[in-house]
Amino acid sequence: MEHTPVVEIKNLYHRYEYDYVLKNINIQIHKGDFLALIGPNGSGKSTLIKLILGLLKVQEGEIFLYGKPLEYFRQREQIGYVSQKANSFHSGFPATVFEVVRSGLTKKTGLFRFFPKNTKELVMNALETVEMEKFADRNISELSGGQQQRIFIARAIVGNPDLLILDEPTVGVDVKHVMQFYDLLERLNRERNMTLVLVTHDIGTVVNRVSHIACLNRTLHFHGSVADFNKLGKKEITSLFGHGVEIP
Amino acid sequence: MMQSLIQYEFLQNAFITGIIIGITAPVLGVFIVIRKMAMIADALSHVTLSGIAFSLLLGKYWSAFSMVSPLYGGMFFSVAGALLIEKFRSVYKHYEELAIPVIMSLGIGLGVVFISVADGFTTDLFGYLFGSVSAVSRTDLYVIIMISCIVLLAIIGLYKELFILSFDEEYCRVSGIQSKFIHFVFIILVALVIAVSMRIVGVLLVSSLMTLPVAASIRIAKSFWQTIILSVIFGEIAVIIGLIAAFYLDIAPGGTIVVISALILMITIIFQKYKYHPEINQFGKWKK
Repeated sequence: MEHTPVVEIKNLYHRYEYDYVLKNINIQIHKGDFLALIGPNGSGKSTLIKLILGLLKVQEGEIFLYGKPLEYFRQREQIGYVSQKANSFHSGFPATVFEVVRSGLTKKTGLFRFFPKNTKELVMNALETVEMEKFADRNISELSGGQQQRIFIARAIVGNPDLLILDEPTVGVDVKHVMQFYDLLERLNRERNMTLVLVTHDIGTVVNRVSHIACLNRTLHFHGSVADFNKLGKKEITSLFGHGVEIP
Repeated sequence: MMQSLIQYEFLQNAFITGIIIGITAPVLGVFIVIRKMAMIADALSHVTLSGIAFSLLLGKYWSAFSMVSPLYGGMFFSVAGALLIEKFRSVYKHYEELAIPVIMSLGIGLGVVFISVADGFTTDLFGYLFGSVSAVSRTDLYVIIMISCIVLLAIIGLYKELFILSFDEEYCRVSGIQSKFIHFVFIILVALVIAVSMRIVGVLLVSSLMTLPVAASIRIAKSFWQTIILSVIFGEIAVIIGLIAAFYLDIAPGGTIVVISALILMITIIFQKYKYHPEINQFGKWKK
């Protein structure tokens, strides 16, 4: 099982109406990889993530999670997800940080069951990892965008997932906290051997932290290790991304 | 009051029902309000009315039916209405909220048709519209207790899932939770509670028992759990005082319950403004 890729995408195409946003995508993501998925706006990054997460239906091609076809994959609790919109949740929702993080254990606990006895410990550990343990009893809507985003990371990791997918998690987070945020991801990857997929615009900041890079602009222009990526000339990189991506 | 309660079975029935719906309606209401579905409750209550009118109509022409409580007809229509709303939402994907006015007007329309065909009812329709302290029979009460137990057990069993569905629907789906199934069960529960509550609060005001206590508790609660507990407390205060007032003043209880709920809401708004924001001055403006 060791060599089974965590995510394997084969000949994936996806279109909205008649317009293909993804063409012939082939990717393998292995256990312990820290993959940065980069590309300009409208390049299909979020679409690809939504397909992997099962939020969109696969039209053409195949996606395998842990060797299983996506439609037969049931162990969703192995996957943590942090979405782009810090405010995708209903702001003004009357819940504490603790309750929100605890909700990350819902699938793992199962229908018609109460949360396990060590829930408090698990939640507090997750909050400590994101250094937000002091906020456990605060209302989620009182926190800043960056703090909320850290809470959502805690929610994503509380069930100790094997794969963590983050869709532009630093949108709306102030610069000072972005670095802390990436440090945290690096730590999760190194210490827990968690596989990470990070969708981002911010290639300059992540290039020294990730292990692999995939450049997407409807088709996959590059996919490989950071070392290979660094061998590319500046001109090639610019042509990969088009515009709108910060290049170091 | 206590003596009347011991003396009259109908009063006992009304109070027990009131205490039960004072729990179930606000508990469901928390999820309804947070998911911005308050209008669905309204639509379903109007569908319930058509169900009641239909059973009364049947009762008028077939005497066998007059023995059957209109509660069942109301419940049946309410659940059917819930299913229709869901169907409609999937048909009009981009206009999901369209389902609500369609079902609501259909509910009233059918109700009016049934009432007209029956050429009015000898039964007090007023009681169905605005509630009544004398309308719950012992058999109704048993049905109400049974349905309410099912509803509460379902809510306890699905609490985690309902929480995550209300908080962040996308995350709920990503987690692999059957969000459609949970939503479906939830809508059915709402339909059942509406049908069960309508004898006390009345069809036209039943949704307010689901929304007003929650609107009040949301202003002061610090957590989700607290929101639920406070909603139930406010709901119970409104129902119990409302029923007592209705009995003594000979007013339809729907009216008194809603007025008291609204009072509680106003008190919490004022309380919250001064308790949590002492920097607000007497003119309601920030001092800074």
